[in-house]
Amino acid sequence: MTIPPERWLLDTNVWVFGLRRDKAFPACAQLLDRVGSFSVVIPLQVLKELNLALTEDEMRNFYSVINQCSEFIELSWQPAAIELVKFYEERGCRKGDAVIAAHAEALGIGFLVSENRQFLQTLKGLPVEIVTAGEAQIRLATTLS
Amino acid sequence: MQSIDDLANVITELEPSEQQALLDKVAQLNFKKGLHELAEKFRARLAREGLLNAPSEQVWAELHRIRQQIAEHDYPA
Repeated sequence: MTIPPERWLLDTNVWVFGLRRDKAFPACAQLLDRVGSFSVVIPLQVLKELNLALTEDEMRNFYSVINQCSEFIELSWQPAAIELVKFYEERGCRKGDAVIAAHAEALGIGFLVSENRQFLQTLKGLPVEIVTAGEAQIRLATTLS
Repeated sequence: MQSIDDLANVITELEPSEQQALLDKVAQLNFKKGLHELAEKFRARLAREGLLNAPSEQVWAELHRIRQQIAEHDYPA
């Protein structure tokens, strides 16, 4: 397998709106369809959130799909360091969002995809770049061209 | 429809880089197919529960609630 160079963290809302095929966020489903042309890391906080948003059976399906694609999808079971969570909280992130940003930084991910507007605004100028699914698609098109 | 043996013969005629590109594409399509099946199952369940056409604000509220609940549990103040 040729491992895609870009390694992105997709926030829970991208997974949920993508799986819902939500008409308000069509770029989420479109981006999920492109996974494989970029690598994805799913951190513990996102896994826990998906575990509450999906049923046990749906979650089993999710892991089954993910486990077949370990070349370009990585699950991370490491908790985020509390110091990093505090760092992002002190910069205006709500605690849950701070956990996601902390995961991204600890995992060496520079690119986080989310539709969370507050998150998008608070992370400006910090080590983790955050973009919407639509912006991620544009980046993907540029990278692959 | 070609048999598996025929397909394998075609594939072995490819250059190694083309074989790798083909395997990559198959993995990507398998993921896409699996995710589409999961999405259909998820949507069917939401429809049964009357939640499929819930406004985005309602979905956001639930996502925020879940996020804060987990974070407060894992990182108590």
